[in-house]
Amino acid sequence: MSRPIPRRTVLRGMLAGVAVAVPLPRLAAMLDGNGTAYADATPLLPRYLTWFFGNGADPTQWVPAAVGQGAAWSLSPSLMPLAEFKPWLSVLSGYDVKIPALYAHKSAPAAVLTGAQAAMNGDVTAPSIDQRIAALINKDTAFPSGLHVGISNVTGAGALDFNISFNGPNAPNPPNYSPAHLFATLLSLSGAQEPDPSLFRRKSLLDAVAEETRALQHQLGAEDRLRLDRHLDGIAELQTQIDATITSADCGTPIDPDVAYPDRGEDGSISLDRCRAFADLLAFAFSCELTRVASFVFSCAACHAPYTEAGLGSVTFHEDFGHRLSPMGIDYATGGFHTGVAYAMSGLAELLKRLRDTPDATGNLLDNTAVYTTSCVGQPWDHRMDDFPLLVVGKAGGLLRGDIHHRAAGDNASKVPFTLLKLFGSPDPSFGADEGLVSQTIPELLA
Amino acid sequence: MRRGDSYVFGALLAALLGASACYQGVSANADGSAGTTTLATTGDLTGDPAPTTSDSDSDGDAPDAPQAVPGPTLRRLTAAEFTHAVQDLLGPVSIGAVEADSSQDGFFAVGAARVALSPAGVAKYEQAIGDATAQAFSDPARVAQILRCVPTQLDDVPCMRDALATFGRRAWRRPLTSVELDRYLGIAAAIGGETGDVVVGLRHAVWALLQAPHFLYRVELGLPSPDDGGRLKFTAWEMASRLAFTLWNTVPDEALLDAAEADLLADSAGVHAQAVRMLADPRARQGVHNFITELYGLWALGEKVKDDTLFPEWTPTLKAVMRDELLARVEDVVFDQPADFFSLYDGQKVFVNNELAKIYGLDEVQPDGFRAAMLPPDSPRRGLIGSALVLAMNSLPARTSATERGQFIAESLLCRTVPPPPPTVDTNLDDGEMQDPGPKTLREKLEPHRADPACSGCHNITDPLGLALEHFDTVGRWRPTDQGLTIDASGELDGQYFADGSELALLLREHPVVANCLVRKLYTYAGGRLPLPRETDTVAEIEDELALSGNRFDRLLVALVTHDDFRFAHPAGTVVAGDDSEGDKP
Repeated sequence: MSRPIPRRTVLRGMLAGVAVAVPLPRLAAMLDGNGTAYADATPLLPRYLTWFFGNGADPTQWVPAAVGQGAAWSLSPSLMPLAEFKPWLSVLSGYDVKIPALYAHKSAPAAVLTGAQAAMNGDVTAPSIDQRIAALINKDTAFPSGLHVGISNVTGAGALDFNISFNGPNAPNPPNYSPAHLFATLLSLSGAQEPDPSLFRRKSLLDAVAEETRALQHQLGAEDRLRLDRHLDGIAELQTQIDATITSADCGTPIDPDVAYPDRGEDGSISLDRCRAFADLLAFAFSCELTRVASFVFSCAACHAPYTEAGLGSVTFHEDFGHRLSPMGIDYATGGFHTGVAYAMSGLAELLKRLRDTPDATGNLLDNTAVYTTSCVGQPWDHRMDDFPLLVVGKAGGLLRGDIHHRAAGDNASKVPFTLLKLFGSPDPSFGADEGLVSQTIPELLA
Repeated sequence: MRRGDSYVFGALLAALLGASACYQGVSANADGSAGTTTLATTGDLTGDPAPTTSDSDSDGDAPDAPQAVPGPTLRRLTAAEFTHAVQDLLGPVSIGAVEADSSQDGFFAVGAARVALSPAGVAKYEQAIGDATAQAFSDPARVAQILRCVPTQLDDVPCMRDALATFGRRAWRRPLTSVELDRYLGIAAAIGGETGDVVVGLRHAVWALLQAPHFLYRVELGLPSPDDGGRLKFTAWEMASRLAFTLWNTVPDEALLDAAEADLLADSAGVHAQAVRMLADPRARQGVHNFITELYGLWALGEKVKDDTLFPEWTPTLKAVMRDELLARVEDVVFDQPADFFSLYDGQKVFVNNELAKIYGLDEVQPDGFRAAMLPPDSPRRGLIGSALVLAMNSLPARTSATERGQFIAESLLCRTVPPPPPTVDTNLDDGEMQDPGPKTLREKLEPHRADPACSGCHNITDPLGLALEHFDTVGRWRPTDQGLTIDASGELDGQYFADGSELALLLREHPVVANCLVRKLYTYAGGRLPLPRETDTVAEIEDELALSGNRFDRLLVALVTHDDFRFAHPAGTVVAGDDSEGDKP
């Protein structure tokens, strides 16, 4: 399902005989009097982002003491870094991953991302929620499959490898760990640079490559044809981006991470500055509607990286704290684990801050975004899959209520992604498979 | 908490590492994979399990059902293959990041046959190849090396055609068809005309040729061969590609392509002649390096951390020399001596600089340099399992891990499957045990895991082997005791007693399954998928050749690439009966 571009204000161009059109940023002036739709009555599309952190959370520190709306509930210790975003925050507690834990560190993340069991080889068996939503709302952007970024590139215990976004089995969207690389890409699409005449040449080369690829497909079996379909999707996306570069909308200039965060650390290392750098760039891309879908991996499933900046040394967070194996003792390990989870939430807060501080339509980006936050495990030292960490942050264009702690002890965690899928307009009556299958949403989440 | 207390407490906590390492091990193979898969699930398989282990092969309880075999599949070049190929084609260039490899069944080579490239990955290729061609074509002398003919005028079509035909043949590992050649000639002419520079036009044609699937994927599909029982026979061009990537980890050279063009790769003898030539070429070392890097998971060394308060020796330079040493040991055995490959498993020849010599307890020399050295004959350190790299890679940041080390031995050397842990396993001991203040050896701490039926399935395979290496700390140094306690490194391997790691190394060298295991690993790597049950005989035949050669790895490579199953494939979905009738190999 593709939204035709002319449904909203676009910048049109004709260069070298090629008609091109690209969305302008969504500004209040383009909208109807209520700020809830474009002037032509096309409803606004909210943005979607999956934010993932590895190694789970301790429910005793994560789950707020009281349930309810607004003043009825207060933040838990682990969630304190999100305090200033409480009006946008929905905490879902008590939900269980119902998929059996056949594969440690694989079954649970596969379940909360796709609703289905993982494959034995550590891959997923179904598309992840971000890709399901991208198919609904993102096809007319410069990045139809979304933007996918990551902070830590240290492997976990196998699990789903580094990936949290999957177009399907064996079709991951690996994260980009380089803010500088993403900045360069977005800068070319921002309208801040003069289009380069070589862009047309690159397009002509890609035409030839696509032609070769399609010809080759005729010789192949079904699985290889599908793989090359995905390659062709990539060629088409790149050509769309080149078109967008040629006649880019004026969205201003993204923040250069090398200027703003020169000491952010190497690509693949964990630091809040790296979180800030990506947060700037994703907020820019959302604001300009270069994409409406993204994913953000703070750390992968069962991530082995150190949380050095949080004062937890150079040891692996997964073992010393997630499994509480620190030679400093169990009290230190437990305290360090809580510190680490709060540190991860500080990384999330950096993104939420930029979304909140970026105007969009009549409000801000956080008003118009849904950020789904989850992990690979519940309480990690027992590999628990009950009372799973699940947050939804943002108001999704007014569709989400926010400022709520809703507890549903023993309910199916798949209901959270399914609720989001329905929120973005899916007609599908259910989500997930086998024990992960659900056909009911969580009405308490909705405004 | 005071440091002294915490040390004791930590020792107790280390009891937990068995369970967690089992988890970790099961999902991150000690042989370097990021996921243990023991069933062949590739291609058009029916889903029938193809056990990876010779152990599970040998039970012979039920004959294999007839199986629909997977047909040949595309394999995207791994990052290493891509890098080597681009540098062979363009000369030394820096190459930007491309999409990361995905390890399946322990090998990037298998992931490359299954996983699709993401849209962002397409853009990365376009940029990396664009940058590489721009670098290479900025130097006229380099251009003259890349292109057989360098035109000066746009109307010198014969020269442009010759340049693109020869470059295209090398990059795509086959001649371009006339339609294909015209397409790239058209690109060169159009962009050459637009820019007024014919070389700029050719650079763009090269940029496109290297983005085409015929470069980025190994297109080795075979052709029906009526004389060969309906099998698909890989064409001479495809054989050239298979030989080059298997033996060299890069594209064929002109001599190999010329052999293909002269149809000299159609039979085993022709393949043999080329394989022998190729193994004498320095690129064969690159090929063996890559296999070993994938087999032992050396690519993960970079991210391996140690607690720097306890092990300040763990430096980037030490890590690098550990890796260099392992590869040097392999090169020595495979190429420089050459000798029985399994002498790696119990040998005492090491390679060190002064930093690594300290870890091995050897004397430093001045001036420092990377050099061969012999451990004393009575040294407790022997073989691959005594190498600093294997000991350190398979340890935790602050402690050894008998479970990880044992898993390396079980999976990488013996092809044994460590069963998955039970779903509800608790990785912590209960508080009562946690509060026991007495120090324990790792053997004592792991005892509950081997006694508890819920844990023993995993730990009885790994721990007895890993405990043999308890005399070596987490960075691979000898230690006489553990926290002042006597270390009992003894155990049994399949009924054979060993007193310590050195004796275990001797047993491993002589173990009846190590040859079969090595062949299975190489077969998986070269074929991009696990061996199917019906290929048990193939593996056995190659294993026989290995034995006849005195276990020479170079001869093993020749036996592999000259085998029928390297030169032929079955069409996808062909039903081939299982071959249990003669009994499986051990």
